Amino acid sequence: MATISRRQLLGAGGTLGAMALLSACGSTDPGGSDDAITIWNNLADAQQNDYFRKHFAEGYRGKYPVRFSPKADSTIDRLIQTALAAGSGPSVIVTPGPSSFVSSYWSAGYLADLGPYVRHYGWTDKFAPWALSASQVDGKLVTLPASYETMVFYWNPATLDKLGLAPPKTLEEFESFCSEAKGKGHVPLSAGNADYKGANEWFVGLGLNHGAGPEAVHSALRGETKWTDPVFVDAIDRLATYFKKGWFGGGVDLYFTNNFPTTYQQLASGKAAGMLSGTWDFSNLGSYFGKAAGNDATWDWTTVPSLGKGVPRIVWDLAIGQSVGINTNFRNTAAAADYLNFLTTDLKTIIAGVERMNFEPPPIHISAADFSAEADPRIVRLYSQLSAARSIGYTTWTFFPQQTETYMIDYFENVITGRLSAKAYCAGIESRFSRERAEGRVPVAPKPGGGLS
Amino acid sequence: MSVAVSPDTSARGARGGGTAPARGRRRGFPIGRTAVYVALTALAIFSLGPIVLFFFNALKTNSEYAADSLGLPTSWTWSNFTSAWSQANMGAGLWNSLQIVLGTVAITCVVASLAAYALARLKVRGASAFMTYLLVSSALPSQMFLVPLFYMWARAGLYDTRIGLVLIYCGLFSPFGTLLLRSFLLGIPREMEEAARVDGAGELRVFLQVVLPNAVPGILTVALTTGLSAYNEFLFAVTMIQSDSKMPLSTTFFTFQQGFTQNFTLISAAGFIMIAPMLILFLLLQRRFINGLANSGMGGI
Amino acid sequence: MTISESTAAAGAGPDVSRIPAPHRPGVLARLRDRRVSGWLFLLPLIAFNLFVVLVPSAFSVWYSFTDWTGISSKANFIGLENYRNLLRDPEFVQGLEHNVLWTVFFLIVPMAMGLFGAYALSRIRRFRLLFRTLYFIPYIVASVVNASIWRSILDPQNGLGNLLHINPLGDQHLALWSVEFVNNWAWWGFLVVVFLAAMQGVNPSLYEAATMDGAGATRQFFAVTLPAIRPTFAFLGLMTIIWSFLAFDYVYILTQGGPAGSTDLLSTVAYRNAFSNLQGGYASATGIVMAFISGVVVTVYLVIRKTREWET
Repeated sequence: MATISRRQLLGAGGTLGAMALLSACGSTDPGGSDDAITIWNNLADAQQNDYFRKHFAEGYRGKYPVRFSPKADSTIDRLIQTALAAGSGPSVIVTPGPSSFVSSYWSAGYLADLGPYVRHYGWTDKFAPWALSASQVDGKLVTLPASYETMVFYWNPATLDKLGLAPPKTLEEFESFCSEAKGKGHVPLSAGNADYKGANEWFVGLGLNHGAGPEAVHSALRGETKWTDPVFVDAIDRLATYFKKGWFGGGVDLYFTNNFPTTYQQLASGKAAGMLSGTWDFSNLGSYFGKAAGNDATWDWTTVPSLGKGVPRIVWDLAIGQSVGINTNFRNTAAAADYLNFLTTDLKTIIAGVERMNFEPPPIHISAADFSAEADPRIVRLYSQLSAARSIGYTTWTFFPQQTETYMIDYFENVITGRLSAKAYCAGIESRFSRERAEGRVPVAPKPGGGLS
Repeated sequence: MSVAVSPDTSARGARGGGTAPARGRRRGFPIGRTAVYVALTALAIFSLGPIVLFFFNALKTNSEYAADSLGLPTSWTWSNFTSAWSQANMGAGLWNSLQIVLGTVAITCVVASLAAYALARLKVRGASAFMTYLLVSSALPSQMFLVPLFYMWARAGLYDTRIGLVLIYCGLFSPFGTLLLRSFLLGIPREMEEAARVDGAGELRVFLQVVLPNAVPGILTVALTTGLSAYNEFLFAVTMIQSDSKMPLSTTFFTFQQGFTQNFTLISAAGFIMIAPMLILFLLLQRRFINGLANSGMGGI
Repeated sequence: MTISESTAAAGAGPDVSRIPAPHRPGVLARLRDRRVSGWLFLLPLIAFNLFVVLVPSAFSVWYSFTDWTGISSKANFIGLENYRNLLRDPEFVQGLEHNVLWTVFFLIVPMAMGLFGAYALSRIRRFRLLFRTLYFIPYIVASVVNASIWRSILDPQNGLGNLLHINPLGDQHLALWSVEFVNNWAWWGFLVVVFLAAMQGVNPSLYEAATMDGAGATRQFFAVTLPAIRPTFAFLGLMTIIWSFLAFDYVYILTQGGPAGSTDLLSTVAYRNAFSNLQGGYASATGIVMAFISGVVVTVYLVIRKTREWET
């Protein structure tokens, strides 16, 4: 088996004279200008971009200035990959969670080992242990968690009053909630993946953690139970039935064409009775409710109902929404690590971002006392409850390996459109998962019921 | 979407399209003239209706759009255009697009006219095989060379530069321009060139002083079609340009659309701003546009 | 007279503005040889093609025989394994099927619309240019904007979809047709323009003869027009097939291959394998297969044209 480095191969091509000519009219290296730390990020809108630039990039006082470049949700990963493959890219590499692309970036040598900085910055004490252990690849810390999140049930109190319903807590309540709402002409749960196909995995994750239960998921992640176990097949099958009944988004076809604004609007207008989504939506709902939207609608959140029998009533799905690492091509890893430390542990900046922009904070120790009086009580409640949580679940984008995750996203669509049975779907998960597990690509997951901090 | 030209487009193709030899022919349709006009009008509505609707949507308020996305605007919110212009930073996008398009057009026209002259007039050994190669190379899926190209450009310091994108566009669009221009040159009489050669002019001089002046309409067509392709191109633009300050309009619009899905009226306004320059250029110079592209499609003649 | 060596070199580069040097007999006589100077004139084109298309493509050919992730600096040679896996990959097979359906749609619908539009325009006298212009306008609108226009029109809650109680882009049985429809909207007007130009080149005496034989407009279309524009028709058929295997933009922007893979094409499968699954070598193999199909189509076309002797 011959191993030829791309560098050598392309180096030969590069000697061709005309390339020298071309390089004469070129300018800087991609994102890697040596005099600044560069970071690309995908935020929701211009307002968030401005805030991030001002407070999280320009607000940093370190050896190098930080340059922030906003990217679209749908392109950022591809842009980073192509840039890395070309030997460049931003100094700070962001990924959507520690399972997505991180181990590939690491094995290709694009991510710097953060181990040498752990002691210096005291990260072990600052971050929740589960988040740090999930951020390791081959026993080395290669990214820091930049945000964490969980799944919740959103509801519009006025709508539920009118319908005479309360947020469901158990499987039975959930099913009667949805069928009643549907019967009264409402969309039971607003949902859609038109803006982001990855939304599929939020629901798959709910189906597994709340339908089969965190114990079962944890056991499968450790390779002790197979994904083809009936407990998973039944959970997925049940979830698919809900989709087919039109409980998510109003219909399977509508689920595919609803974009996020539509889902928020449906919740605000009362067309939808509820919404199962992540806490990242805290920052998105604002402009659809109340004064900003020119209505008097309000929203609230509660925990996700149980979707199976014998599953704990409250399960907090743990997720690292974004991970940040350092590009090995940036010349000063220590300086970049200092910026990472600022980005993920500077409590004042982080709390201000949570309060003003509803940004998700990193999984550091945050208590109710850290928030100011102007903080949204719903947010304070979330983070104080979350850090005290005991029963945890495992999101696919944090605890599942890359190819398994991609499969779970892509083929869930085949399940809800009736092209693939739940059993075959689970078999597909199992075959990919066992291969990636053998390759050591499954992130370390904390024990269920172990608590968060 | 680009169209390649067959290597064997000939002189007849180059002259087609313009004048219609329909004079003096009166042949009725069996179903009647009115029915034909009705059908043609229906097709015209099919073509133009969506754009008109898009324009109307750009003039609605958000709530008006939510209530009725298929009707006339009641309020004519022209401010959507100014908001979209400033919020999407379209001024900068337009300026970048202008530089990229003009750079691409200039270089492509030079490259294509040199090559077209060689293929049309000079006895190049293997010319027909070469033209077949051009046709095949324009049929390659761009996904196939995107990543290696990116790598090479980054090595050469051309990544995230407008000139880098311009050079890629020249590589992508010059085969088309060459074949288009070649077919145009075949339609120009050779007498003047031969006379110049008899007078002892070298090939470069024949090219510059005799062929080029006569080829101006053909070059203009190449310029327009290349400019259109460069202006509308998306995949390479979004991959090769990272800095906001250098983004052409297609990526500016795409990014804006991603961030503002809740506000379709602003997206419509931005989209309309994006297509307006090409729409105006097309309406002003449509004969050149249409004749050139028509010839390109008649490759087999 | 001849030109100096330095000027010739400049002529090969982008700078052609220099004026040829004065008469200097004997210098570089071979430049007078039109065969040599021909290739010099082609040099800029070749250089661009080499760096933008050929060299990167060559790398892709190499990668298709490796396990390259698409991001790593290492690639291990694995022979034909990627190609063997392709044949067993249901996503590849499904993408291929959709490409074939796509080709069939574009060989029929826009061709028919283009032929009808062009033939009708060739037989009317008033408003011909106006109609031609109107039909052509969608062709110049950028695909990002086109997609945006149609997404709003086809919206199931707020657009035509609501009126007709369908969800064209969300229904797995309609989605592929819907994307083709949107793409065709921007495409068929181009065919009208091309066919019209070809029809205007048809010898009028053929129509006169047909009229004298008592042939109506429909008969004349099949007996005179269609045979006369056959080369154009064949060329556009060729381009349609090639371009159908390259189709990417509209699917990527409108559906990303969904719902449930119902709009996946080879290009979107390759794209996903390259960027979501980090299987650059495998994606390269898909690209090579796509290029191979195009190559076969072009070859078949050239062979047919040679045997039929359309070209003189």
